[in-house]
Amino acid sequence: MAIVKWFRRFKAAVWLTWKEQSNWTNPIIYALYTSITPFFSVLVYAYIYIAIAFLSGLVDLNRAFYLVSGVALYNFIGSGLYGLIWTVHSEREHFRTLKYTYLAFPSLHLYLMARSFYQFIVGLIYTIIMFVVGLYLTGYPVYNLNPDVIEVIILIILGYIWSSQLGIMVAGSSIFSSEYGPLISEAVGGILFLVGAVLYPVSALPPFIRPLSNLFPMVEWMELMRHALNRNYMVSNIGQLHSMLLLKTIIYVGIAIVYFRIVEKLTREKGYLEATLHH
Amino acid sequence: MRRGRSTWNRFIRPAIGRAYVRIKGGNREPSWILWEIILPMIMIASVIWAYENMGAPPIFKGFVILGGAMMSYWYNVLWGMGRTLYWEKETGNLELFLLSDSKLPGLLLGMALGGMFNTSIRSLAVILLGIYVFKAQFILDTVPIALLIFFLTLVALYGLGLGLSGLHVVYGRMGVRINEALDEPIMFLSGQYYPITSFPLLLQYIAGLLPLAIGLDGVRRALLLGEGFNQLYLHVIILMVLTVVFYLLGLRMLNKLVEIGRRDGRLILRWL
Repeated sequence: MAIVKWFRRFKAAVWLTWKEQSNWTNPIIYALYTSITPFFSVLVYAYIYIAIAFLSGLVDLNRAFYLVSGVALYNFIGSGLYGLIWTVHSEREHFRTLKYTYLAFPSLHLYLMARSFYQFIVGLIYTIIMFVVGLYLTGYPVYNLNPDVIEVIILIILGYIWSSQLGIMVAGSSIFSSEYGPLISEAVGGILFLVGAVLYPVSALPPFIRPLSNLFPMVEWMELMRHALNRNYMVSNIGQLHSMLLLKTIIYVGIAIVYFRIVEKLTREKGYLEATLHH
Repeated sequence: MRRGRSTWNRFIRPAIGRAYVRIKGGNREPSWILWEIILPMIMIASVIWAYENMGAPPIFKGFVILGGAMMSYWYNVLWGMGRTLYWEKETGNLELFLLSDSKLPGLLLGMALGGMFNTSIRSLAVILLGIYVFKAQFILDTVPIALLIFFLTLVALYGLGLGLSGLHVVYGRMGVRINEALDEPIMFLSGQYYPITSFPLLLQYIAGLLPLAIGLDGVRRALLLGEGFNQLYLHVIILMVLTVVFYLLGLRMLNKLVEIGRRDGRLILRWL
C-alpha cells in the first residue's frame, strides 16, 4: 500500500507541474511552443559545425555526431536540473506556495523529484527532436546508427537519477538564498556544459579545468549514451565507464538524501520556506 | 490654475526615474555583476573550445565573444523591458503608473536605458576577459563605425521592445512564454556564434529584418575584418530604417495592446 501512496503523491506533483507549465494556452500551442526551443537550439549548435564546413571545407561527420548528440543529450539533463532548482525559486518567490506545499506534501525531497520528472520528460522530447534534426542538418547518415534500445533506456533512467539528485543538492542550497538560487542553477548547468563532454571531449579542455569533470557523472553518461545510440562510436574502457557511472550515481543518491535532510532541518529552524525578497 | 506637465516631462522624467531604479537595483550587489559576467563566459568558453577542437581559424574566437556580448542586449534590453513591465504588473506598480499622467513609452525607455547600462558593464568585461583569456584580437581603427552600428542597433531594439512589451502587459504568462519561445530562433538567426553569411540566402534575408543580426554582423565586420564606413554603409542605412519602422510599429502595437488591456480589464489581473 505504501508504494501505491507513493505513486499517487508522485503523480499529483507531476500533474501540478503539467498544469503550471501549460495552462496558459491550449495543448496544441503548448506542443508547438515546446518544439520551437529544441529545434532552434540545435540549429544554433549545428551551425557551429556547418559554419566551419562552409567557410573552411573541414567536413568530419564523426565530429558532427559528437556535437549534435552532446547538445541533444545535454538538454535532457539540463532541462530536468534547471526545472528542479527553479521549482524552489518560483514556488517560494513568485507563487509563494512553498510553505503550503511543505505542509501538504509529506516529503519535500520526493515533491521536488516529482516536479522535476515532468521537466525531464520535456527534456527527453527536446533531446529526440534535437538529435534527429541535428543529424539531418549536418548530413550524418542516420541509418548507420544501430542503437541499443535497452541500454539507452537504462542510461536514461540512470541519467534521471543522478541528475535529479544533483538538482536536489543544488535546490537544497538555493533554499538558503533567494537572490542566488537562479544563479546557482545556471552556474551548475553551465559547468556541466563546459566540462561534461558536450561539445568536445575532456581532453580539449585546458589541463587545470579537467579535474572538474571528475566531480560529475556527466562525462561517463555522455560517452555511454553516445555509444548506446551509435555502435560505431567507439569508447575505450567501457566496463570502467559503466562502473564509474554506477558508483557516482550511488554516491550522489546517498549524499543528496543526507544533505537534503540537514537542509530541511535548518530551513524549518530559520524560517526560510517563506523568506521572499519580493522580486 | 495648475499647469499640466509638458509631454516631454511626462516622457523623460519617468524614463530617468525608471533607469535609475534599474541601474541601482542591478548593481547594488557587486557579486551579482561578477556572476553575470562569469555565466556568459562559461558558454563563450565552451563554444570557443568547441571551435578550437574542430580546428577553426582564430578569428572565430572574436566571432563568439562579440556574439555572446551583444546577445545579452536582446535579453536585457528588449525582453528586459517586457519582463520588468510584467513584474511591475504582478507587484501592483503598473496600475499606479497607468493612473499617473506619465507616458508608458517613457517608462519603457527608462527600463531600456537601465538595461543598456547594466549590460554594457557586463559585456565590456566579457570582451576584455575574452581578449585576456582567449587572446582574441580586434581591429581598433574601425571602432567609431562599430560604435555607430552598435548605437543604432540599441535604438532599433528599443523600438521593437516597445511593441513586444505590450504582450507582457496584456497576456501575462503567455507573453513570458512567447518571449522564451523567441529566444532560440533569435539566437540562431542573429548568428550568435557564427557569421550569418554561412546561411542560405533566404535565411540571410529573414535575418536582415532583425536589428541584432544586422548590428552584430556590422560590428563583427568592423572589429574583426577591419571594414570601414564604405563597406558598412548599407548596415547603417538598414538599421536606420529598422529604427524608424520598429519605433512606429512598436508604439502602435503598445497602444493597441494597452487599449485591449483597459477594455478587457487585464491590466490589473495577476497570475494570468
